[in-house]
Amino acid sequence: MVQSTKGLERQLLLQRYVELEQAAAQDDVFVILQAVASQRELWVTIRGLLLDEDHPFPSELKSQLLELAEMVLQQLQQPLSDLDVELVLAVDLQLAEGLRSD
Amino acid sequence: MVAPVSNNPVLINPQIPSAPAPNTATTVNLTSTATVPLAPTATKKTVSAETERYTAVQQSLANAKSAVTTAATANTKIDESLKQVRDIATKLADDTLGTKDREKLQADYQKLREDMIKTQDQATVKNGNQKTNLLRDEKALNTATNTRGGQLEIQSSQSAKALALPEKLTSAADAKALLQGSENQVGSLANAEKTTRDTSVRLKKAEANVDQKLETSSAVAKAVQRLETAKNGGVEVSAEREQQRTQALEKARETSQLLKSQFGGLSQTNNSSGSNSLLSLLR
Repeated sequence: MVQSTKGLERQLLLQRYVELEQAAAQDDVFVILQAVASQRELWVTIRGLLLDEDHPFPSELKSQLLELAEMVLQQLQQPLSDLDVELVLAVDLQLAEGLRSD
Repeated sequence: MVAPVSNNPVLINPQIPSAPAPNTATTVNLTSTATVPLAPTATKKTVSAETERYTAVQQSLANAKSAVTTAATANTKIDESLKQVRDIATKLADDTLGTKDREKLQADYQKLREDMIKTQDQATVKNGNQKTNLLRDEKALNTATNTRGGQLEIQSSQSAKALALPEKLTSAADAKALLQGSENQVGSLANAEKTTRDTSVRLKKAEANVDQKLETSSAVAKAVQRLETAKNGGVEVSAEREQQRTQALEKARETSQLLKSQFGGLSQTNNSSGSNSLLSLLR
């Protein structure tokens, strides 16, 4: 079955969510760092897509998504001791929920 | 014309959802955002290309930061292991040590050395198909620092496996040799410690450099975005606004609701370049 773009994006968000959630549950700093790196890659890419004025989303939605991206990226810039993992996970989950195409 | 940024009030909710959040907290009028705004076509292509270039720079810097942070963490762990190696080697250098004690210390040394190799391997960071290990790689990491082709080179330590420490310390003489070797002598403890110290200094400098470049790049990207939005007669995106944690969560819920009303996903763009492709990140 061919999945919609939204469905695939949701899958990606959930992949990264699970990666970070599982990493945070482990006592291995390197696993967490890799998961944080994956999140950074994800959110920088999302921000890049939305900064494109050709993007057809309504401007209000783009603004809100950009604010979220900035906030998450600021979190991901923090040292691990200051990183609010729960907040990043919650935002991932909300975005995945928004991409649900049922 | 770009529509004004939303000033919708947000609900304060200190709870962090551990499962998909309920859809009840929205204060957003979905119908007001359902239409796609029309922007002047003439400037759109320039904006797209420029913002894409800034994004590529920030992706590159973000990847560099990940590589540096991970290598620095591994290096700190190795430094701690080396202190234990010194302690064990000092004990093993005692000629009068009993056989059982010697065997135990030898096993401890081998375990520490194996752990150091594992830690060196853990310094590897994957970004797409590219793997970077700033402790072991033979080549430096080159990262883009601006859209004009500026590059920052982050050197790898090019360290040998386990910093070239011997596999075993089978005798007191081996332990003494390990302890007495000079900083310039590969395979000596002093040499391993010096490599670790140098790496630490180098990575700290690199991290500060990457942070500064990332900050500058983000600020420039935002400024460009502001200018271009203003040029198109729109209102700037308030990306700088500091958000409280609870407000951020509420914002995430609102955004999720808005996103649901969209037929297409985040990846809708006319860009042909792969640097911004979201779906390419799927594993």
